[in-house]
Amino acid sequence: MGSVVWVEDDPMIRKVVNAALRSSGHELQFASNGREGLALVERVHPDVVFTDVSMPGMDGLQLADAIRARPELADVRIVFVTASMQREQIDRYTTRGATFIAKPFSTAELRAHVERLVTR
Amino acid sequence: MSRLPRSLIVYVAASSIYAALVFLAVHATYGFELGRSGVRLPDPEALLTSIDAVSFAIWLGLSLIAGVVLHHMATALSRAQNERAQGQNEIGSIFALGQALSGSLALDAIAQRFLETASGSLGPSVTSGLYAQDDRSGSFRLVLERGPHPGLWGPRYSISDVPGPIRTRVVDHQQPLVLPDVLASGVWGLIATALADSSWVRSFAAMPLVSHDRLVGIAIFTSDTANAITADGIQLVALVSQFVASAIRTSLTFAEAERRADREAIVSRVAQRARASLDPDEVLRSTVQELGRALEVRRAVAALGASAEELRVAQEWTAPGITALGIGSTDLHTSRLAATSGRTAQSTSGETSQLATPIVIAGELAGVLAVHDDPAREWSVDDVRLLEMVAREVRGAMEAARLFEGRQRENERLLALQRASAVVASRTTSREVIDEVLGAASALLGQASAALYLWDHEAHSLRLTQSAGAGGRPVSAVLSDGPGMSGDILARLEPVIVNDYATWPGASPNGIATGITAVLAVPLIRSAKLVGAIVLRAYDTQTRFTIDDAHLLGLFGDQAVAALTNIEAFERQRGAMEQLERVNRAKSEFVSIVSHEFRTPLTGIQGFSEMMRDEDLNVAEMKEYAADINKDAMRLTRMINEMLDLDRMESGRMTLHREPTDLNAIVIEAVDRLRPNAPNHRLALALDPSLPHFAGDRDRLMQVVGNLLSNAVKYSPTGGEIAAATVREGPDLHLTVADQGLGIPADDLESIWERYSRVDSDGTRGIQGTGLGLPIVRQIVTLHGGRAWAESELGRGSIFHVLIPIAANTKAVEA
Repeated sequence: MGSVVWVEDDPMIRKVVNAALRSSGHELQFASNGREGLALVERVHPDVVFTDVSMPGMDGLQLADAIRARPELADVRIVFVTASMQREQIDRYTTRGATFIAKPFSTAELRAHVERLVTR
Repeated sequence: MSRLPRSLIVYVAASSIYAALVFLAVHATYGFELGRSGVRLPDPEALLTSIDAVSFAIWLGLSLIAGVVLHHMATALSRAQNERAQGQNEIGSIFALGQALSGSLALDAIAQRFLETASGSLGPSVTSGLYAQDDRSGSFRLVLERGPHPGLWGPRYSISDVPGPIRTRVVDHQQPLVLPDVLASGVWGLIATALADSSWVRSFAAMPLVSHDRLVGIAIFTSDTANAITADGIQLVALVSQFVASAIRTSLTFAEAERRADREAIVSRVAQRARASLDPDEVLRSTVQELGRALEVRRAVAALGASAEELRVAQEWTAPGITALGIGSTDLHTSRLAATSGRTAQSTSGETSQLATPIVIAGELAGVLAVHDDPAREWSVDDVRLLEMVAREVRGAMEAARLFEGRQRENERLLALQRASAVVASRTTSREVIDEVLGAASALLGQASAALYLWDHEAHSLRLTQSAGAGGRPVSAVLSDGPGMSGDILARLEPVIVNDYATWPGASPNGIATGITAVLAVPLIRSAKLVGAIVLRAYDTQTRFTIDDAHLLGLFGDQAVAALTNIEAFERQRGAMEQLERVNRAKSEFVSIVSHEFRTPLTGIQGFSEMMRDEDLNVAEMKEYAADINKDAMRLTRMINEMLDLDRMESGRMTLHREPTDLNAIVIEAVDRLRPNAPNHRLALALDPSLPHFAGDRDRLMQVVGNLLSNAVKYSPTGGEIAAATVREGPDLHLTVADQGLGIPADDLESIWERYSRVDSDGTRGIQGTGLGLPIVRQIVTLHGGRAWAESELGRGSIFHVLIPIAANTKAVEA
């Protein structure tokens, strides 16, 4: 049993993720912007955080910075879920162990990704 | 040789004594012989006495005759001896004179020898003088005088001053005039009137000195003894005078040649100085000095001035002991004459003779060179020539100096211009450039205010833009463009130069009142068109503007025009670059946003469809997922349509299909369409029934109202009232859509009208949109000539306003 936090502002994507991972048995919680996501991460200390990059207010990158700035959250893995392939920005994070998946993603790919990160 | 007794008495006495002695001897001899022979004569006493008497008489007679004869012979012999001796003497003196003259070229030495010889010949009572004729002036100058009564004759005679009889005979006919006894002569009286005190003169001669038929001088002899000078006595002098004349001529010729060489040297010295020095004062100073010495005058003057009236002494040289006129003096009668006539002028007034020649540069009087001399003197052709040649050289020097000065001034100005233009080039705003140009122009051209006027196309006049250095004086805001006024002149692209503002026909009463004395204005020209003018105004009496100043100011004007043009071009370029950058940024943002926005619904479509494909779903789930897929597909379609719409509107390719439109009807229909999607909202309508129809695009306006209404629903997720209202406001239709939703932060009231902008607030999460609704609203409203805006109170709701003019005076492009 792993714990997953998913930060995404689009309700339809939250819905499809929820449907896709429903059967995985992991604990899945959603936030719709960065600030809310950070609070959630601090609260549940998940194995992995999936976050959209482009969001109003605190975006995915700022959220990642905020998590990395907390030593107690150092083991939280971060996965950027991005529609626009802002490689340079993401590279800064992937070198620090972050990974990313691109929208649109397949549900199978998503499940595999979650399993790999949570069970490790 | 012993002198022979010359008196006849001596001879007669000697021969008488001789006769008496011979008679006594004969008488004694006869008496002795008769006594010894013893002859007795009847009356020997009587006989002897008669014989004695007879023989004595005969002897006496013979002796007397012999005495007279001897006397004659002795006299003749003595004369012959005398003549021989004198001849030898004269030949000796002529020979000595010839020798003396052959080596000498000095007139004084020649005169000395000649007069010595003449005195020797004529005796000590004779006073002699030698006059040489001055070739330049033709007058006779006393070279030397010697004898007991010097000073009778003047030191110099012009030909006209020579006493008549001498002039006629000696000068004209080159014949000697000899008056052995002046009292017996009828002509002496004519001569004596020209002399001061001639009462002692008893004997006089004037001898022409002629060489090669040319009179070179006159020898004058006077004596207080009658017949001291006779035609015979003067023969030797006449003979000697031929040698002397030749020597004098040689001497004069030589002196003349020397003088000419001297003069040429002077001219060449002046020329050299003139070329070497660029200081006209120095050239003039050395010139007057040279002139004064060369012409042997009392004073040499260089006066400067552009007209006869303006002539002032600039440099002066005076002979020792002569009082200077003084620098700045205007006591220049003959100089003014020369200045007025433009030619060399000479005059004699009283004891003073003056000679002056003008210095003319480029057809304009620059000054005068003049020499003054006294006593009165006749100026020779050579004097005039020398003065003129020197004046020519001085002219060259002054011309060069002026040229140099002008060039130097030009250089200084160009340097200033360069400095100014460097400063101008470093300025980046037109105001700074103009400030710089005005400041520099005002500083360079003296105490003047500088103002920039720019051409106002609409008012068709030159309008004041900036001014500097006016010292609080009012400067006219518009340049008058009446005929002859500055605006009119400038409009013809000509400079305005006014140096007597008060009498200028174009002067304005205000200008005169503010104390303008001079005006210089140049047009600013770009592409042969007037773009403005720089105007300098002087308020002092010293400033006088010249055409050179106009040229210089013109250069400043060019700088200003160039700088302004550059800055305009730079700003245009920068604007274009910024625009391009903005477009580019917008494009890349657009691409990124589009890819992002498209990927979001695509994620849903892909995910739901995969699950439908791969998972065992029940019918309800299947239907739900299919509905989700449909929703995302619709969203995608809407996004694409709106994007294309917006793109067409923004690029001006959108065409409005205008027709008589009832805004109220559109609002009612839009609200009707919305109703099923807003079950939790209360929809209120407040429509103005008096709203007129207007020319609008019904479908597009439906889009406007629809977007506003759907936004109102979306952003008031908890429900509440949505009020749509229309009202006529003057020429406009006013539509408002108000909700009681989340509201919009004040900072975002404007940015919400931009593409893909989203407001982050706690309430907006989960609200989906294309990000294009409001941009489309604004575009359509703008195309109808109206405007759209929003007002809001955070947490209380928002009101969106649309104002559309009833008349179809749109600014939109209607292709």
